[in-house]
Amino acid sequence: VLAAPVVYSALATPRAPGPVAGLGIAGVALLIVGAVVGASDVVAGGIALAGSSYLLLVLVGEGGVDLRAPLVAGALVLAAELAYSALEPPLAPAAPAVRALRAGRVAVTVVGAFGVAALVLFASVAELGSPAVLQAVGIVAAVAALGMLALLARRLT
Amino acid sequence: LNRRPTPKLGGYAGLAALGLFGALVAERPELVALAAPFAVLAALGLALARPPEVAVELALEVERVFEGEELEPVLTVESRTGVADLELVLLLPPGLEAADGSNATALRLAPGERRELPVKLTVDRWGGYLLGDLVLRARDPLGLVHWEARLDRRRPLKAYPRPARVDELLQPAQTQVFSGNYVSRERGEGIEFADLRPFAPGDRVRRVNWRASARRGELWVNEYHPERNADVVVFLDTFSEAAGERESTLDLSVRAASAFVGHYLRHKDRVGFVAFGGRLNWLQPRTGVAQLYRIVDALVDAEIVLNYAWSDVDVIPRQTLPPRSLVVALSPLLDDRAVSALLDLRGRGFDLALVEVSPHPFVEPGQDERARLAHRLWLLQRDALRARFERAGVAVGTWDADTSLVGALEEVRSFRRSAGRVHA
Repeated sequence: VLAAPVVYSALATPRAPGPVAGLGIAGVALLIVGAVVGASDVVAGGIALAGSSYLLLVLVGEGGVDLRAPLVAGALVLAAELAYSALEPPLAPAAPAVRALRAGRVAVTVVGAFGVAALVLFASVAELGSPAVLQAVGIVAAVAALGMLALLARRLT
Repeated sequence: LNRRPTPKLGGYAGLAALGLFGALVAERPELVALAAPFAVLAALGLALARPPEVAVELALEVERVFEGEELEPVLTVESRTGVADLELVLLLPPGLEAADGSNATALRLAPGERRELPVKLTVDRWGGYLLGDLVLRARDPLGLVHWEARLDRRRPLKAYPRPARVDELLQPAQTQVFSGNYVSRERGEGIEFADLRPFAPGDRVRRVNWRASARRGELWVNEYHPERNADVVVFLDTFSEAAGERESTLDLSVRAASAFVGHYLRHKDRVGFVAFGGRLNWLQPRTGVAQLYRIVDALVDAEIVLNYAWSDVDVIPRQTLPPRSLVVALSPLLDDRAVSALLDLRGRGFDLALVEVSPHPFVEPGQDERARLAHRLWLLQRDALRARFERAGVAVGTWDADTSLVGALEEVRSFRRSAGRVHA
């Protein structure tokens, strides 16, 4: 699954296909190694590297916004969901209803990820405000998101 | 329930942070589009994570089973809040196995739902068990947070040994004073003809043998052997055992002891029990069904306890070994203390029969010449030990898992007949 955005990045890039593919392949390899040895940090590193290969594609690209980003986001989320499922093997064999529920949960998550990514991309290309305002909103959103995560994680633990 | 964030939560938070800051640095909205789903998932997972309320009970309909039988405890799971994904594992002690290969289940519970989950188990080995250690793991709807708990719903379960097949019992050399099923050597009231003797004042007329009296010209009466019971003590050597993957000499000994106890008690004998080893356990001879349960319960508790202290038969209470009792010993003859105690019992005049539960099937001869030589020497030593018992007048029958206990008892019976210890 993770190979799909990597292949897309390598084929779509007009320049430096080597580094794009190299980063992506390293990401896929890292994900496989992480899933096999059961190291969650390595899995996250693999997904981050695959994401970096896509970042390289958009950085060396023509300059326009790549509208396929939601598909890449969906693929990355699907790869992450499957890899983390493999990291935590189930204690018990699941009944068919539970198996269907788990598969449905992954499907809804991927579709939701696509939707969220599409919404974000739409907000960025719709030019809802001046670039400076948008950047400020972005910084505030990023800090707020991280702050909220930290707060929730602290409450949880 | 203990709450535990999954590695996925940390991973998603990290990816979101990396993506968002990368987007700010690179000034590319595509990276926000990649990072935003991870951030939203992590935030949603944390916001939706509510500790589930789960109640689990274990119902065990039977408290006693026989080795090899199946039982079906029922787990009742109830959740007031509902659980999206609940995994439940019934931890099984060694000796119990899931009949269908799984002692765990995963399920989804709606709010207020109650589910009964039967778990089919097979009892592989006799013994006392505590069944009901449960591991429970619930997940939030997005799988970012786990709640885990280990629940103690233990119930006692006694698995009785499967008795070995025994057709005929060993006859005791001497009987006791109460009526039973053995023809005594004594003379008295009975139905088994013993001898003739001249009439004496006080003899009942019904005992007069008229044909013998007519032939001899004076009154002669019949004498009879009375039917009496016996005292039997089952002596279990628990000093050491030889064990394979599935069975040990102790397992075989316990099965044989269980068979002996049941048979002798059905014959109205008083049966006692001595587990002689690292830990001494005894029961004085008694009759009846209650004694059967007492002894079988004691057998279930029998185990090898490592102990280097020297023990002899003096530690056994006197009442446990009544005079004129038949002592049926079950031993792998691996420990000198057991050997010495058995010879001591014989020396004190007890009628001793020994069933040697052979450790040979559990011992491989070895690969090299030296190991094979050691094995042969060991076998010779064991032959010499058996001969030592037989010289002391103790009948020894050898039994292992591949042979029948009936054959070992016949070996003992044959020796006792030839040694004249038991009248026919």
